Parts: sequence; C-alpha cells; structure tokens
Amino acid sequence: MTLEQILTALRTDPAWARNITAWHLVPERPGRYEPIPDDVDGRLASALRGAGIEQLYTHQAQSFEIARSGRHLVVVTPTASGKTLCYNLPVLNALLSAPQTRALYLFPTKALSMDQVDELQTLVRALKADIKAATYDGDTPGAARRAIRTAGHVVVTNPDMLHAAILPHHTKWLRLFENLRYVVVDELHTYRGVFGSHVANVLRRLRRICRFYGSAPQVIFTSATIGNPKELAERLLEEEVALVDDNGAPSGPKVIAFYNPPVINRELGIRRDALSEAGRLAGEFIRNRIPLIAFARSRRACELLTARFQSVAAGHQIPPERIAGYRAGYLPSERRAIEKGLRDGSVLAVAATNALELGIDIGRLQAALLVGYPGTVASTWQQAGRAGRTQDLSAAILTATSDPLDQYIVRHPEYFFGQSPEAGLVNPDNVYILTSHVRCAAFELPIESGERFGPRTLPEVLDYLEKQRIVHREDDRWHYVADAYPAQDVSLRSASTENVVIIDTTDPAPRVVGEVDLASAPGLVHEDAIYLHLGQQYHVDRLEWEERKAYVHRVDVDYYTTAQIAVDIRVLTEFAPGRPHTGMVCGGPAHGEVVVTYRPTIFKKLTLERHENVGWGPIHLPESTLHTTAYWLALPILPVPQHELQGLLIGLSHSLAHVAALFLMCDPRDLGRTYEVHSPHADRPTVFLYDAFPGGVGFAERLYRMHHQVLSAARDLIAACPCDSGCPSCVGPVLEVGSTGKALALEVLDARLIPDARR
Amino acid sequence: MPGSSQTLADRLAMMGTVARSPAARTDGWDGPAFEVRRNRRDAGEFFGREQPHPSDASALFLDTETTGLAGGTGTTPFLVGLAFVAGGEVVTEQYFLRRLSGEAAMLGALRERLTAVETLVTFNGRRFDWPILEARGIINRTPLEAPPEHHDLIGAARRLWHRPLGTYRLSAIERHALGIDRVDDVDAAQIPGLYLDYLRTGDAESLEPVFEHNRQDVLCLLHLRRKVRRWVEDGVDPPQPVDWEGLGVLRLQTAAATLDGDTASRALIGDAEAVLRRALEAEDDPAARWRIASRLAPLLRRTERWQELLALWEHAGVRGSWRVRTLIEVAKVQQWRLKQPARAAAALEEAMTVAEWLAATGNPIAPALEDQVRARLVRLLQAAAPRGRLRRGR
Repeated sequence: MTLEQILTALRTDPAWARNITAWHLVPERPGRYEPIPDDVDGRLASALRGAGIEQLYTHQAQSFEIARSGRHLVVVTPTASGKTLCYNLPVLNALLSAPQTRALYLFPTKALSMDQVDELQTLVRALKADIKAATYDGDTPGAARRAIRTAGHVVVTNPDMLHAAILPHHTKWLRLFENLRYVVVDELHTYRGVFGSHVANVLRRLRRICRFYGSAPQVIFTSATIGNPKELAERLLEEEVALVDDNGAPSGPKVIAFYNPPVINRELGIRRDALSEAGRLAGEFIRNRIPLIAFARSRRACELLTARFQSVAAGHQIPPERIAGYRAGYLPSERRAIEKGLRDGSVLAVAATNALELGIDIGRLQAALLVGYPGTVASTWQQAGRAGRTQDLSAAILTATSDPLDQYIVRHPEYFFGQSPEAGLVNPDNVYILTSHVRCAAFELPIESGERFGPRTLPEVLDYLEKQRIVHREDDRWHYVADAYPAQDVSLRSASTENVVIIDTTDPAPRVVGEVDLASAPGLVHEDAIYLHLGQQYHVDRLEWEERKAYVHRVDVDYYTTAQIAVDIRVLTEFAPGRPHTGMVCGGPAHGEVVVTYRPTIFKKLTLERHENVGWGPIHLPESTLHTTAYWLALPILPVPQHELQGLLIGLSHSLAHVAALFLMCDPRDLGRTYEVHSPHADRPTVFLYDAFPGGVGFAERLYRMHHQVLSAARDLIAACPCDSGCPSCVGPVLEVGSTGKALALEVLDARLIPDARR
Repeated sequence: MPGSSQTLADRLAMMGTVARSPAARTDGWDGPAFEVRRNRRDAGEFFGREQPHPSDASALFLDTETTGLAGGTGTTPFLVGLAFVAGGEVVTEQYFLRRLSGEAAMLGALRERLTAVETLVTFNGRRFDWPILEARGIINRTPLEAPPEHHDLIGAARRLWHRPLGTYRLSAIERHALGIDRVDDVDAAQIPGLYLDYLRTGDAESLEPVFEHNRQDVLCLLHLRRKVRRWVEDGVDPPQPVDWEGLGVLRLQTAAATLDGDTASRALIGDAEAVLRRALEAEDDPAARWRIASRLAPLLRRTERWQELLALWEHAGVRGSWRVRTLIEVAKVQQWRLKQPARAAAALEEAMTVAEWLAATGNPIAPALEDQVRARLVRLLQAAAPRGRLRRGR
C-alpha cells in the first residue's frame, strides 16, 4: 500500500477511525523565490549555484537584506526550510570581503554543532577560500584549541562553553572578540525558562566583552515555531530585533492526525497503552516499507518501541538493521551512522527521543509517529516536521497517553491548530541568576559604577557581592577579588547544582548507582525508602543529609514507599491583586512573592500490586524553603463540607497546574502546586501555582495575565474527560479528590470562576 | 514592580548569610597606587663561595602573589617579585599594588623591566604567573611581550625531586635540596585573604610576611637555577640524593638541545649515562628497570658498544613479563649486532619458558607479546634452516 492508501484505511476502518479525534490537512505550499542578491560575493553565488541553489527562498533573501542593513534579526520558519542559509549567507559574504572577520555560532547541543560545522565546511570547500570553521566544546582536543582561538573564523560552540570556558579566558580569544561581526543563536526556542534566563545573562557578558575589544556584533537568531519569537529574542538581547517569519520554502501536503487510544476502564479513566497502540500503527507503515520516525518521551519508551519495530520487521522479511533506535546515551559515531542511514534510506524506521527533534539533517521521511504529546506545540510541530521534507504527501500522527496534557490536546485539536499561544519566557533579572552572572562578569572585567548590565545598573548586587568578599570597590570600579573561578559554580542547565549521591553498599566495594537532585531527595531517599533505579529496588539504610549521600543496598520486596511532604506557603508580597480583597464574594487571581516550606512528615509502604497500605514510618529531615514567585486563585466561600472542599481544591490545583504547563511551555515539574483550605493571606480557600526555581522565572506573572485562558482550558479539560468522578487525566484520581471533587470543580469553574474572570 | 514592598537589597539579603567583614575603606589613601620595594645584597655574600652563573646577568627571576589560584582573567597579581644580578649585586624588586587601580602602572613598569631581559626564570610560570600577567596586560591595555626565553624550573624540579620527596613544591625542595629552612613563613593559601583584608583596612602591616615570603621565593629561584645548571649542564653530581634517572634525562635533554655534538655535549652524554647506570643499580621495580634500560640503550647503540648493550639487557629484566621483554632485546643484540643466531634463539627459548611458567602460575603475559616472541623464534629458525627444505615445504 502507498501512504495515501494507508491513510484512507485509517480514516475509513472503524476500528481505527473512531479513535481519531482530529484529521487535519496542511495544504501543499508552492515555493516562493527571489534571485540571489547582487551584493552576494560572486564566489559565494557560484558556489551556491554549484550546489544546485539557483535562487533563494524569499525568507532567505529577506534575512540577507536585513543582515546587510546591520540590524539584529530572528528567523522563524519550519524544519527543513533552509534556515541555516539565512545566517551562513551573510556570514560567509562578510568573511569573503574581510578575511579577518569572525563569527560565533551557538547551538544548544554538541550534536547540532557538529552537524552545522559539516554543512558549513561543505559550502566553504566549494568556495575554495581560506575560511576555517571549527567546533569548540568539551571534546575539542587541546592542540586544536589554540589554533581555533587564534585562527578560527567561525567558532561553533554552545552557551555552556561560552559561559565557563571562553568568556572567563577572553584574553586568549583576543582575535575573536576584536573582530566579532556576527553571533548566531540557533534554536532560540530552547532558550526559555531558567536556561533562557541564564543564556540572556551570558549574552550580556558576551556583549560586554565585545565592547571592551571594540566590536559590536550583530545577532542572528533562528527558531522553530514559537508564540513570541521577536519578544523572546528582544528579551534575550535587550535590543530591537527584526522578525523574518514569512516562509518561502515549498512543502508537500501533510496530514496531521490525533489518535486517542480507547478507554478500557471508564471508572478509573484508564486508556489502552499509547506505546502498544503506536506499535500497531507503526506496523502499518513498516510492513508497507514507508520510511518512518517515531518519537517517544523517555529513553525507556524509545527502547521498547525499537523492540516492537524489530518484531514487526521480522514478521515481514525486513532485515533488522533497517530498524534503529536513537537517543541520548548512544555514542556519537553510532548516532552519525543512524543519521546517514536515514538520509540514504538504508534505515527504514527509527524510534527516537527528542534528541533527534532539533535540526539534525536526517533527510526525507514520509511518516512521523508521536507517542505522547511532546509537551509543547513547538516540539509537536518540530517532530511532525521530520516527516515530509519532499513535495509528496506525508503524515504525522500523535498518539495520546492518559496524561492530562495529552488528553487536553487530543480532545481540543482546535487549540493545537489555532494560533499558538505558547511563548518562551525568560527572566534575566531573576535575582539569583543575575547575581551569579554579575560575579562572572566582574571576574572577566572590573565593573564600572554606573555601568549597565542589561537595562540597569547594579549597585545593590555589587554591594551584596562586596559583603560576600567577592568584589572590592575602589573609586568607581568594582574588582573581582575572590579566590575562586566563578563560572564553575554556575550551571546554565539546572536550577541547583547540588545532588544527593546514591551509594550501593551491597557488595564489598561500594558503588555509586545514581543521584537525585536536592529538592527531590527528601521524598525519594529518606531512610527506609525503597528507591527504584533501572528496575532494581534499593533499600535506603542511611541518608547523610549534610554530606549529600544516601547509602542503600539491593533488595527484592513487594512494596514501594511514598513520602508525604507537607507544603506550607506564605505570601510575602502581593504584586497585583485582581480586585480589593475586602468585602467581596470571590477572591480572584493574584501574583506575588512567596516562601514555600517543604517538610517531609511520614512515608507509607504500599503493595506493588494493589497499592494497599502495609505500614508507615516517620521521616526525620530538616525542612527546606524556597523563595519564589506564585500565582494564586482565591475561591469564593462555598457552603460545602470540609472534605468536599479539600477534594475540590486538590482537583482544581491538579488540572490548573497541567494546563498552566501547557500555556507556559514548561515541564509540569517546573511548576509547584499547593492549596490552603483557608489562606490567611486571602481569607479564602486558595489554590497556588508557583515557580519551582528560587526567585522565579516569570511563570507567575504570565499566569496572572492569562488567567482567563487557563481557567477555561482547565474547565474544558475536566468537562471533556469521560471518567466518572476523577482520574489522573483531569482532576486527579478519585481516591484523592473524593466522589464530589470532579463535579464540584466543574461547577465552581462554570458558575463562579470563569464568569468572574470575564468581568 | 507595582506593590513591591521589598527592595532588591532585601531579597539579596535573603539569599545567604552575609559574612562579617571589616568596613571597606575607599578614602584617605595617599601616595601612588603602586610602589616598588627594592633590596640589594652583595652577590658574593649571597652566593657564598660560588659565583653567579654568567648568564644570570641577562635573566630576570619572577614570582607573583595573586588574589586567587584559579587562573583566568579575574585573578590579579598584586605583588610581582623580581630578582636580577647587576653590578655585583643581587637586586630584588617587589612591585606592590597599594590599590587595585595601580595595576596598569605596575604592568607598565614591568614591561619596561622586561625589555632587556633574555631569559625569564620562574617556577611554574609557564602555566601560572606568565598567563596571568599576559591576561592582565590585555585587560589593562598594557600588553606585555614575553622575553625570548622562559626557563620554568618546575620541569627540572619534577624530574629531580618528585620521586624522592613525593612532591616538587618549591618549599619542600628549598628545605631538602637547598638546605634553607624558613621560619614563620606564611601559608600560601592564606595570601589572597590577607591581601583582601589589606584592601579593606589599608593596614599593610599584616602583609609584611607576604612580602618576605615572596622575596624568599624569588631568591630561592636564583639558588635553584644555579644548582640545577651545575648538576644538569655542568655534569656535577649533587651531594644529596636526587632522582638519578631524572637527572640523566635532564642531561640528555640539554645535550640534545645544543645539537652540535661537540666535546661538551659528548661529555654531558657521558655524565648522563653515569647517573642512569646509578639509577638502574638502585632500582628494584622491574617496570622502572625496563624504563631506565630503555633510556640507556640508545647511548650504547650510538657508540656501538654491543657487548655492553648485551650486558645491559641481560641484567635489566628481573622478573615477570619484563624478563620476557628484556630477553627479546637480548635476542635482537645477539642476532643483529653480534651475529649469533643460536644464542638469539636460546634467549627467545628462555623467553618462551618464562612465558609458559607465568601462564602456569596464573599471570599470563599479553598475547601480543607472546606472539612476538614466537614469531621472532620462527623467523630465526627458518633463516637458519637450509633453503631447499623450506622450498619443498611450500
């Protein structure tokens, strides 16, 4: 069967069709072209023609014009629309006219940098010019580093290297910084949340160093679909950035379908497993030899899918080497081989994690299977874009899991296909992040008083650092005087660099089996906890909290443990109350600064099979506090018994947190949630959603502003869920919310909260 | 933000306990931001009976004290200690930053001092002092140019003392090898903190031990370089024990660097051989014996002393797989140099026996090594066999 026939079968066979909740046809788009501009160097133009590029897509030509005019720009077009040429063209053109010119390319991952250098080098070879492009990262050998520092025209690296290895040693990079003309920031959409807030500060430091060496580079951002490319780029750069989003690249017709596995237990809201459903769907493509990529959300799921694909292939005389898995943890050479196999067609089907989502060139596939909602609209389009790079028909099918986000998306396809409301949020002025980078900046160059770091000056931060004996003020300058290399203590990727190490003492030689971040440790590795790692159970014998070490031994027991952590929240400052508190019937939304206190209390032992409580114990650990920002919603005072009110609050916080993660484009774990039956601050029952990062990254304020949308989406999620009175897909399991939780949540949303929000 | 009752300062205060520290002083500073402390001593008195090495006249000895040990651009050298020999005197100059703003002026003075210098002498200066000075030069827009030569004594120190002393820190070498014992020396780890205290209080008194420490360090370099040159370049053996192998290697390196193969360098190679033999005699560890013999072998080959080479390998291997390796070398000498194929075969057969015995006792040698022995033996036997028989064999 051809792809078209398979798609017809899916749509008409009732066994499939009744579970398909959306069938969306993206029409074919013809390409729009412009001639190669006259001011492109003749050598470059002929190299392009040699590579079969006779004319440019309109967005490539537009990018070139803007770059030539000296403005910063952000290019937002889909996968495989020739985005790299949007920056390679102006960069190479500048290099040809002035060979001392330098460019710095930033990619979020190492694999991407390698791919880009390969592509750039192909073009450079065709130019026959002496232009050196090289990656500079942790894998670069020592001997090559010196050469790259002085002679590399295009230095390709990642923000982490720029932060920890290049900027703190800027004097060794004199040549680069004196002549830096372009900075390329690819995959802009990945720079959001905590990571984006750090990267914004790394860019501040970069441009500060450039000013010292007398250069003022232009920045070219590129991004996959995102709600606010211009805003995000401008927030990262703190200058005006021109937007290029009118894609001129052609694309073939594409079907995007949503598939919701059938419900097998209505009471508990349990659906058939997404992995096995995806395996069945994939079978249709594989046996018809339709090139396919499947995206799984975890490494484990990726491995399971690969195994399923293998068994399908075996049943249809397809050699096993035509099936591949692709995820983090594979060796770079293995990855390269799979990428090549996908490009030349020798690999028929690949099961991948989002490691393959970003712009690595894997050629043309006809079908993409998304096993579980990738978490954001941007990722979904990115993954779906892996199919259909030709003019021909292609298909992308999303199979939903029981997660609330998945269920919301497949039941509200109009949300997905409508205007993307997702926005990348950053808060470069988060006091923790800012302070870390001011330290790094002072290490790089003394800070002048009155000097701007981002939009403002830094007297308070510098005073603080002086008291910490990190900087010393002399006249109008602040000098770094601490005996430490500050970039080492600042990780761009995670909120906290602290971890608890898990040490297995079963064998005579103790062995580290893993680690958990400090925040999760009290709930996972308290004494007498059963800790699960790669399918093996470990009993925690001892937790050395101060030393951040948990000593465990291997066990085989029929129960698991779950910790109860009491979360207390205290409002410090209310930034923006909805309306005055006093004398009103409904509290309404607000946001502000809070202190969250976690206090582990007890743990329960539950049987693996039936989740029955077979014991409990106390947890003796210090409480921990988080100073952050929160959004909260005070409810009207309701005439319901206490336990029903509690069920309502649990249900509301559960559903609100999940849809909020959708709108904020963040991992649900980045958002904490709690409630108070009677909040002393609001004098009402209140639901809180807070940034799970010290100081907050802007989620709270954003939620406050999109309060109405969030409430409506939560309502739609609950209303469309087929479960009776609560399941993990909507308000949470019925055991937690009670028999009235779901109905009450819907009622309160419909009757009070949404009408109030509309007013 | 609207309604915010907390200032940024309040929020910063919540981030951590603020260390108590003396109040910062930013006023009341008189005089230049950087100063030079100069000290002179009669060279004869300083060096005792021995005279300074003639080349010391164009050398500048340098050692810095910094605000940190991490390196990178944010480490400031607040005290640059220099020493040189001029007009029969040993002069030390210490460039001290009374205030951080004096750095550009200090680097300017250093740049001038460096102009006539042929050789910069440091201890770990290649990795530490010089890169920091170079970086600070760029940051202060006073770029420094490195003198034509940089003699970093840490390389020689590691070769000579790492094994016998278990360390090659300057202070340990000073005590054990130069016989200098410092009293009340400041702990190097405390120096950055002492300087920061000084910056905040303006009280230079507590820095006096730091000045003294730095002066001692840089003077120590003069002694150390003179001794190292006598032992390495002049072929005089040190009175106290050093790593003889390391000394031999240093002498060979120096001889190779002169390249001309003149009498002096030939003599130095002889001196190297003597200490390498001394090292081999004193060594028990089979791996180390193999390593030392491998350093000696080229010297014997170059001068075609085949019997000595044979003796070297016969006695170098003591046990285990090292015995197999040395027997292979014995076989090579017998076969190619002494033209004794039968004796070569005997050596290889002995090697096979050793290998078999090792395998039987649970310590088999590497398969590649065993293959090598076997292959050599087979080639040797084939070469010895009459031609006709071999042809028929094919």
